[in-house]
Amino acid sequence: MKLLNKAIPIHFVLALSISLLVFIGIGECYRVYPAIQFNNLCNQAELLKSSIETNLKLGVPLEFKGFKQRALELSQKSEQINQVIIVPGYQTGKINSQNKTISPENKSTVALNCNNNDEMLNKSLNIDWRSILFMPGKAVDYQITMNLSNKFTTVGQLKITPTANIFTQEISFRFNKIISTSILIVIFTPFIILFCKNILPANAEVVQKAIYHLCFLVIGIVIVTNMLQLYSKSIKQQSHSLAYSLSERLDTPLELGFDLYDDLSGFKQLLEEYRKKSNDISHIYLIKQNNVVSSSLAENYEDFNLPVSLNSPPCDSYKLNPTSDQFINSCLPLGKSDYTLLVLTPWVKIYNKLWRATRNILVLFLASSLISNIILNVLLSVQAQTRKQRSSKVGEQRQSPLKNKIDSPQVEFSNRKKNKKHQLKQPLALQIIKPVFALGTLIEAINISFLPSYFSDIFRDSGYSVSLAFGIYFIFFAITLIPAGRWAEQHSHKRMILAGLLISVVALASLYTAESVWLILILRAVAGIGQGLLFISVQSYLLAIENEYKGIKCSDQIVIGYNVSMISGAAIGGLIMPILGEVTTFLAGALVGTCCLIYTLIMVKDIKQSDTSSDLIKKSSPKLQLGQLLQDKLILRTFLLVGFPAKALFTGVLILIMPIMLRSKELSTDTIGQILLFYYIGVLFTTKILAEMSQLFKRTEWVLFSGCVGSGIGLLLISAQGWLPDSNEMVLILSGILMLGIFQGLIHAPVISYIVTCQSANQIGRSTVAAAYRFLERLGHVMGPSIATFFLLQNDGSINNQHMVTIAIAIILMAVAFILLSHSKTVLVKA
Amino acid sequence: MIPWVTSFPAVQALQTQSNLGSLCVELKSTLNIQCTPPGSDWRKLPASNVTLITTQHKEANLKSGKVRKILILSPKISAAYNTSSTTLVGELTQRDIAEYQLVFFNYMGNTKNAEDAIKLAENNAFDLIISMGSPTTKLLSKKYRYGSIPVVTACSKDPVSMGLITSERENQSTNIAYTSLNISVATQVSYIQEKYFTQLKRIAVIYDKNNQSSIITQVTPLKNHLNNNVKSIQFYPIEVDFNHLKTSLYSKLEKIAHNTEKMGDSVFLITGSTELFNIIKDINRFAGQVPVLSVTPSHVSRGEDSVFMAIGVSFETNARLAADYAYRILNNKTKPSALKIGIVSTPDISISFMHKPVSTLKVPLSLFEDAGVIYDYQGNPARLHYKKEN
Repeated sequence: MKLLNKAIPIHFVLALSISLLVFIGIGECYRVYPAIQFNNLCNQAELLKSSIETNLKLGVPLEFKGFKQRALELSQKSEQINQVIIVPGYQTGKINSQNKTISPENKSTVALNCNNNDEMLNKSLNIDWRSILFMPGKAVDYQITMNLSNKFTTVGQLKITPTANIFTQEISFRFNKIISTSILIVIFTPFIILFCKNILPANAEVVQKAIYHLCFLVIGIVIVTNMLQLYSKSIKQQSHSLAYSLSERLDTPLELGFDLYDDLSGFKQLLEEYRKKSNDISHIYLIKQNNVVSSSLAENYEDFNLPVSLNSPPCDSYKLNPTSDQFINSCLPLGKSDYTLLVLTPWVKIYNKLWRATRNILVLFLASSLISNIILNVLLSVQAQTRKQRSSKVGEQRQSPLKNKIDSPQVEFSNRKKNKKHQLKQPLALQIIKPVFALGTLIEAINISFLPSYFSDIFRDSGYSVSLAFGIYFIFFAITLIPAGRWAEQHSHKRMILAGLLISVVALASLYTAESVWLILILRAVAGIGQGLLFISVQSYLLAIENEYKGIKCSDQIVIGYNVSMISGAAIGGLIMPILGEVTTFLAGALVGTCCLIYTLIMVKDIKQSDTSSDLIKKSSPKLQLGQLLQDKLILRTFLLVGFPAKALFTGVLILIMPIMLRSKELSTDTIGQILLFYYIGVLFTTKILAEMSQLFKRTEWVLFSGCVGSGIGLLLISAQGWLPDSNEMVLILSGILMLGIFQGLIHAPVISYIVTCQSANQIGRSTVAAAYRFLERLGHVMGPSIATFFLLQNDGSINNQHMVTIAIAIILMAVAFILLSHSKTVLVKA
Repeated sequence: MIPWVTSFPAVQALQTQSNLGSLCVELKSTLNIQCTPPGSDWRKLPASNVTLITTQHKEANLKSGKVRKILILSPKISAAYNTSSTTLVGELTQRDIAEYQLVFFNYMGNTKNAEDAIKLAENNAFDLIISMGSPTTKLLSKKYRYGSIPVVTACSKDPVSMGLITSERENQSTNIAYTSLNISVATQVSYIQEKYFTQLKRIAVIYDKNNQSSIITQVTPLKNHLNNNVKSIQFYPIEVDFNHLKTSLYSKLEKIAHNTEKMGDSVFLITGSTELFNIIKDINRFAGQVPVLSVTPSHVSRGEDSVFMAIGVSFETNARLAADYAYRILNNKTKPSALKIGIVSTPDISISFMHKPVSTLKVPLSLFEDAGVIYDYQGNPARLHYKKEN
């Protein structure tokens, strides 16, 4: 029973992260596999339609028996098609647009339209959870209806019924097995972890995390392998069905007694047309005996080409090339003639589709590791605490009781890192509060990759700029900070955290139904208040921990927690949004927030606040504080030349402009989320480096100067993409964003260390100066989206790169002005 | 044969001896529909020039109850009109479950008889008049433009070129829905140039100087189009005087054939004229290696008497378009004034490989696939989608 009690929390964390991984895997398969199948299906349907219509236009009536024969042959030979029916009917005027989805007679049948793109298909497909989870799934009937026209009008319809569960069956079959394996892993791994911990008690933490990550990796590899098989099979089918259809078309002149090469021309165009029907096929060859009559090669594949005269049978000819194993082939002889059709599809096309899935899984691994690390740390701390409690009971008679209960948190010193024995172990209260801030911020971060484009769609034609939604969020975030700070001095931090979370959850969940611009603006304002409350209450809680446990530093925890959440949130949000859709992702965020709320209610206990923690707020009014601070030249200089531009750059460029810019490059939401991660990874990296190697960065004003100059150069790199070829622009964008993150990391925490060296800090207190400066900084957050919209967004929604250069240069010049105006006094970094 | 159309019991089969005999034979052989004498009212008209056919759906329970009455008015005996009428009847009966009563009347150039027939149609509450042939269309445009019975034209040349209406807009106020046997010259030229002879520099148009309608509807529009829109192609007229064929035609053919620098930079284009078609063997001979094309699909036929390729509108295709217009009007889906002049956008293509100039000149696959009529190198039919082999 004890073992079970120990194992259950690990079960919980493992089940949660592996479920998320499997869910993303299923979503990824649903995104790619049905699209390939659908494309294949439509190619076959369109080719049949085109062949029938060619004859209809020649005057052949729709009742011609040959059409039925062709339809029957297609349904018998194609693995994707169950039935093809040709329905005569002169409905001129009723059906005259092929772009319109024609509703099938049976209402339970889902109508598909071949003009829909992949995204629309995915919206019309629902994940078949029943069959994935071992229950017999309900077959969904699909139908593609195409109008058949002669020279004048629509004369009938082609109704194509795909094979039952064509889009989902194979996915369900494979994920059945993956889920079975996952369940076994989730059940047994915690016991293995506990067993290993008993064998290696000295490395308990390392063992636990290593086994946990190993499980994640194993499931990830299993998913990717299955995807590879799934995609390669469907792409092979696609290339084969195209080859088959093309061969049928080329058979016609041969059957009429003509020779393709001697009598006819225009094969190049025909092969091009077919090759372009599939984005995956790279080569199509028409070969007569051993001579290539015509060919079509995709761009970038010209290096691989067959000679005009072949020395081997056509179907084996391509194998002579040393790189032939890079292709999948479909080789079909044309009837009884001496012509052969050879279609090649490069494996790299499959790998590209797989790369996106693998990348998503790697990013999810990173995101999941960061969040689960925080949760695992809580588990480890609680377990260690329990052990302490037990040992304290044993030693109770020999020594005085230890104050180590959670509700009266005490410092737990343990061997976290054997080689860093001089370092203090973080207290349990700090470990417990970390997930609160991480998950609380994560619920907003989940939306970061798609919120600008989502709002752009809703705000279109409303007369309001989308930047208003971001501006209003930061305005309310900022104006909440000082009253919330004052409230935190006198009230329970826990209640304040709960209030912040509750408000955030409600604001996010309400976006599910919000469609009007005004309601969205109100909800964003409410979300700003909620996040402001959460931010200040967690900060106050951390300060209380610092006061309670001397020697513990919590100031970088906000920066680290924020960036961990942003990395995880942006990654997870970018991955689940395409599966769930925007509004359901809001609900998912709200659900995470609710879990966090319950966790806070159960786990977080208030810490008694010392009198010194309230400094100025108790002594004077906010107006007086700000007035006094703005008269301090150091603060004014730092705010105007460093803090304001840095924060405006973050909200204006990263939060608002980058998603719009990346969306305009037709990047998917998950890719956008992953690109934005580079910023947060950069910030996290710098913050960690600063914390570990503070001695290297003694002169804070130079650290801030470097941060600003680096940010400016990062922005210059991003803007340079507008002038470079497409292939290089992503490298520039990624480097620019990473650079922006690394150098902004030099500003976030050090700026507070620099600010508190001002004269005002000696008079009104360091904490108050820091809190009030944070408020001032928020003005940068507030103004960022508006400034970006005004300078960077053009009327057509594109980005003005020239203005971006101007802003980058302005930031660098402000940094130069800042360093020139700074006094020469050396300030030690206290991050 | 259309399977669900059955013949109405014939009362008296006397039409085989009449002016409409060939039409009745064609209706019988193609659609298994028999001609019958019309009702007493119609006997006021010359008996040998009028006949009636009635169609009914074989599935009696699908009877709509409504019998649609159509008068088909033609000016003379013509194989083209017979083909057009048969196709039109076949199309209508194929599309609709309704029953039809169709009165065919050949007014033999006597406009008084035509006007009498129209009055009879009005008195008997006819639903539609089909104007067969350019003379009938000309007559109805003049006399019956605002008549009470809607009119659809068939087997008639372009009404704008013939001066019957000046523009599309003018048609909007009449009760006549026009169709055209001519495709747009722009379509014709783009088919010739873009789909086949991409290096084309000259179109030599061969026309009969006495055939005014072909000059108006085919030669002049082509000349204007090339001069105004496609300046890279020279318009070269060859006006044929049948009294001086050698000077007016053959010497010019030889001259062009001799001056052609590259295969496919020149083509001969024959306008729709029976007289010209009768000397097609000679034209082919003097044309040498220059391809001979036609705007009339019927100019491509079995054996020696054929051009290499025709890009135009067949009578059958035009009749199907007219049937489509008729169907829409009869089913109250539209009014004649709302219908644009019916010009077939995708032309009928016929090819005879026997007359392909040289072996190096290949036929584009797209044209081959679009061709409804193809004859092989021996002049034997390889594909006959809309052509009736005689």
